[in-house]
Amino acid sequence: MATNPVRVPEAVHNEVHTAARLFGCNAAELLERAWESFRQSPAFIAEFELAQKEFSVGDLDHVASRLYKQSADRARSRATAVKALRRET
Amino acid sequence: MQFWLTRRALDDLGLSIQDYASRPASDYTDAHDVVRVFVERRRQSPVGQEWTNLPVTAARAYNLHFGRLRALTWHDEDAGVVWLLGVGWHESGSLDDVYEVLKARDQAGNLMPDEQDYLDLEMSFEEAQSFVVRVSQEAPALVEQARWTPGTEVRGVIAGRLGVGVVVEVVVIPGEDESLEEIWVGFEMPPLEGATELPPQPEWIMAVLAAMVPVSVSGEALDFSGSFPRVGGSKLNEIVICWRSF
Repeated sequence: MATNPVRVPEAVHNEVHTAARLFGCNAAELLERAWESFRQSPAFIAEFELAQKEFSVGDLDHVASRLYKQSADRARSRATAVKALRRET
Repeated sequence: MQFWLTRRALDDLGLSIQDYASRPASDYTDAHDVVRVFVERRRQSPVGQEWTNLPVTAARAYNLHFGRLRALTWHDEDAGVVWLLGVGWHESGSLDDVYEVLKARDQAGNLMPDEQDYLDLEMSFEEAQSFVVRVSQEAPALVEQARWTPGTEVRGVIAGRLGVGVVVEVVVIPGEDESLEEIWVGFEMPPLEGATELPPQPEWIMAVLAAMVPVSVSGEALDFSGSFPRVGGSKLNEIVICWRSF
């Protein structure tokens, strides 16, 4: 099916095309594979279904705790990425 | 694109960390001229025309001028944020010159945003709780409302920020007692402006769907590929999801 073109930064564009060549497909097929792999990933399914069960029994604090934990994990990982920009490390 | 001050930059400007650290700079441009100029100029372009080579960090820090004050900003593309890293007086040749001070901070490892600065971008636990409570009430209520008028789109706003359309199509199977329900949900993008803090995508969509979809429908059964069943189909940038249940 025809889709709208996707604009990505040049560096990402180059990496995507290199990765597509590695997998023997074109960029659109690579995007399709990446999305399907994410959708079917245990992480996506597990996260969704856990929240679904918690909402169904009114366990809202657990949903909120996990959203908050994801935030804290993201902050830590971003700070680590910034530290990695230091030339001494 | 968002504009934020690190806690050290707030301190440089004498602005209260308690009052401002967990707010984007665009919320308090009247608190200091440098904040206003930072937001105005970096909104035009997230990078400046001249930059300072940092002694340790391999990132381009752009200079920002306001009178005799100078600041450094950094475009953090991964987080979608332009940071104001530090501010001070410019006095060429002086050891107290702001550029020397900020380079010294870079050497000491406390110029760039740290974990606490990144935590300030995120929702607090109380905000997460408040978001989840609203979603738990408003998301299922919207689906329930759509069940009362099958085939008609019902629109609502969840948590004061998320514009959502819902259609319930009921398919009656001849000769069978059961009927099939097909539920379509379309999320307007981007979210609306509002006071409620949202988790980033895709977490908020995951949370809203988890509150809407019954546990009998698995995550694998969610269909992200359809066009919303209204005249003209899906809207520009709308995220459409469909599931079916008996």
